[in-house]
Amino acid sequence: MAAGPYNYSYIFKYIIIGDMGVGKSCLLHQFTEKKFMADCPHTIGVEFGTRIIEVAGQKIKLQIWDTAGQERFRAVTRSYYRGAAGALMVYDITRRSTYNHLSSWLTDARNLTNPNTVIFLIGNKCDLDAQRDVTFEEAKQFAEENGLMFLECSAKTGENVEDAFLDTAKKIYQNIQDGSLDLNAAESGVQHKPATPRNPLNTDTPPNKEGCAC
Amino acid sequence: METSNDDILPPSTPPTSRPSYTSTPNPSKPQKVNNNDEEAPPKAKNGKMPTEEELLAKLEAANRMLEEDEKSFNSLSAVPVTPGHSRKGSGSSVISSTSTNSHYSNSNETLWDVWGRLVNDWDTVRKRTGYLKELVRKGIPSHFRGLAWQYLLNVHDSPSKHLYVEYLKKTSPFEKLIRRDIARTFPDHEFFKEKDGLGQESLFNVMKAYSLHDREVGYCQGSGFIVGLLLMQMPEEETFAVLVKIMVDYRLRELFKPSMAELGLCMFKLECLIQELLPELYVHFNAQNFYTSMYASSWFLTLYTTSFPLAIACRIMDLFISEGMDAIFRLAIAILQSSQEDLLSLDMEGMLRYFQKDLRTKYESDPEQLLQISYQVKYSQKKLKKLEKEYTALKSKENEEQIELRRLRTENNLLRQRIECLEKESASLADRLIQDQVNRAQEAEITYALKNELAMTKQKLCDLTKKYEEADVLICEVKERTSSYENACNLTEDAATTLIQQLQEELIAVRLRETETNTLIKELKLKISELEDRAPSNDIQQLQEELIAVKLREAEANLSLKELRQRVIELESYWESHMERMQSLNSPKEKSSKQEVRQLQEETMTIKLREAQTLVNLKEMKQKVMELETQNQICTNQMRRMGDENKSIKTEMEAVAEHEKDLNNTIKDLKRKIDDLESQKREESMMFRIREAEKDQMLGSLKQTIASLEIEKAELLTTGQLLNKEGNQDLTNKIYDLQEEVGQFPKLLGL
Repeated sequence: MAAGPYNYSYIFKYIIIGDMGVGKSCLLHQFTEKKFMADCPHTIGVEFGTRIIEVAGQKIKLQIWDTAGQERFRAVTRSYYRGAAGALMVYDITRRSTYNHLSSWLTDARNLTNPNTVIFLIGNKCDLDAQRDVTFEEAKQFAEENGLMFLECSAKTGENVEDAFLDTAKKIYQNIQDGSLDLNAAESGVQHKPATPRNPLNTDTPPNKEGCAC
Repeated sequence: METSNDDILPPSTPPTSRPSYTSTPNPSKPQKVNNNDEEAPPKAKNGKMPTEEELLAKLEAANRMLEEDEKSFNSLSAVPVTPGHSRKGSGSSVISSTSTNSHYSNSNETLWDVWGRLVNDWDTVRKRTGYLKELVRKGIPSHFRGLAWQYLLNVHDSPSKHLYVEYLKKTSPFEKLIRRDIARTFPDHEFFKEKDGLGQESLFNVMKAYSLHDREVGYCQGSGFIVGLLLMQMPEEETFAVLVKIMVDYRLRELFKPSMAELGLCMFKLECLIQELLPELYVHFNAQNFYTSMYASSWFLTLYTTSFPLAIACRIMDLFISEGMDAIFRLAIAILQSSQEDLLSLDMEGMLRYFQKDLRTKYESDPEQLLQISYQVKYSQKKLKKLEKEYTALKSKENEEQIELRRLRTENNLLRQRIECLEKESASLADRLIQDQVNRAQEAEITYALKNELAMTKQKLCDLTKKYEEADVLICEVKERTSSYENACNLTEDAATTLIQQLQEELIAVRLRETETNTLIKELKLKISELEDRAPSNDIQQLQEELIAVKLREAEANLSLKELRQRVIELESYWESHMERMQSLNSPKEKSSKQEVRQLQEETMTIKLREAQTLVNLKEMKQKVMELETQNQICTNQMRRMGDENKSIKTEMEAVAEHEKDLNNTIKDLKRKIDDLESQKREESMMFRIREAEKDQMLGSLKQTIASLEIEKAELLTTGQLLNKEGNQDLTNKIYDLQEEVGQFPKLLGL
């Protein structure tokens, strides 16, 4: 990782939402640490992770908020939707109930984020194909009907996890490029050239050292 | 990182922020001691057992020792840390921690005895709350911890233990959710590691039982860590009883209620405390958009069990059980206070990482340090109560706003839907408009065509009206006629038939008349032709007569002309003579001569007039002559034509006459032939009559012979009979001969 206070030109804020136990924290951990954490305590409130990625030659820092999945925690996590540029909406392909709750999560995401927020639907645990309870096709259809991007991933094997985070970033970047996402808007979820940090030492810590504290 | 943490480990907090709460520690210490002393005498008075006094004495001794420890700790922590001494500092801190640990072990030994006695005589000790609080702050020996917690909470004989057995038999609607989190609670801990092992099972049981016991709360993520920590110290039933107690008494259940409103309140309180006690940090947090809930949610929801290693978590639980939520708040402030320097140098991400990672290990070596700081934290409970009120007011307002917001959002949605509907409608209307315009254009074309047609039809109409008028006139006529007919028609059918008959009769009569007239016409035509044949000759005669008359008139006219000329000549001669006379007379009789001249002139004038008149007459006559001549010519022409016709007719007549002669000749020939044939016929008939007569004569003679022969036959028969059979054969032969003769007669007759 290149040292220096500004080794990225954008900060994108992400939020990961979805039912309890669908693997939100594991997805974040897989993305930030490139490791599967089998013994991941359940998230209380919110957790946080970052990683710097590259889209179209631009270094982008992803600030990812991982939320508690239980219904009653929405009261706590709702404030984290504000100003998210990307929302990863996760369900568990082996549990239909988590898929059935998507519309409620989507309502929250739509109501609490700005209209340009990229919502990415993730069907997690695709390594457990034998226990599959939600077909790819119907989820794909759901995504298309609601204008969402969609992938099936496995936090365990790492399959498609990078793609999900990167595709979201690409879409956001594209929105910036074509002008549909106003960087000056209060809650765009995107910061361009971050303000000078008080202590540069802490901003250039390599992304692989960052990540969720699960 | 660790080194930097160690740098901050000792109370390196800036002195400026300390006075607010550290200015009181000195008075507080004697207070505590006093408290103990104050509380001790009543117990001594109440004391029934002589051993109690000894116990008290021991406790006081232990107290004193602990105070000394505290002092030593304070003195140790009071050692100023110079920036250059960071490495050394870390070393000293390690030493200090070990020294405190040694203190710990020392005190633990005494604490063991103390806690042993306490547990044995809880009923008397429990009332000495101040003493117990201090004792707990020293740390409960791990062996006594489970018991101590139960005693402190007074649940060692709680009825909820019995309930627990009941709950185990039931099923909870939260079971699925609980199961989902069981494996994710203390996943690294030996006791809970094994899948479906004893630890996980008991954890599940307690969680399930509580979800049944407190249906309002049910199950909330986070509570599992608290239960897990409890289970590490005591069996399921006791854990359940303790859980129920802390949930209710320490308002923990408020935190876990589905609305989680209490958590917000806690965050708010903590924020206010930070603002009051750590203003610099508060400003920094605000500047970095670093919210309390980002790091402190789990502190309250899991009572630091997820934030610190278990050893510290257990100490914190001691405090919580002894002192309630206050302990948690004080710890929060203590953590922030001890980390203030680090945090101030970090941005939001850095702070988050600090709380997630560094904090966990920061106090691992010396938990007592943090606890000690927390004991020092002072804040006004009244103020917190006030804050609570403020918060509830704020929250209710927020709720109202939320409701309003939701209402507005639904309204917005409805409006959006309406807009969509209207947009669709407008689109369809636009389509219709275009369609209408197209239609209108088409219609305009059609109307143009129709107008043309109309003009044409109007013209036609004009024509037709004219025709109509004509027809009207006709109709009127017809009507008049029909009316007249109608009068007739009004009659009955019989009358009609009679009328028809009459009409038919009339028709027939008319036809007859017509034929008559036709015949008449023919006759007339014939007459005309006859007349025409006759007329010319008459005309010619008349014309010839006229011509003659005209010629006569001409001759007369010529004669009169000659006479007139003669008279003119006479007059001239007379005039000449007169002139001569005039000359002879000359001037003497000029006047009279003048009169004469005048008279003569008048005469000549009259004569000239007569002459003109005669000339006119002459001309008229000439014209008449001309006319007559032309008439004459025409007549002669006609005559010539007639003559020609006459000739042709005469030739025809001659031909016909010849034909007649021929025919007459043939008739005569035929008559002659007829006469010849008639004479021949007469001769032939005469010949027949003669032959007939001859034949009649022959027939008569033959009849005579037959009769004679028959007589002969009869004679012969009679003679034969007489002669018998002699001459029979001769007779029969004769008969045959005769019969043959008779047979020959008809043949002769036929000839």
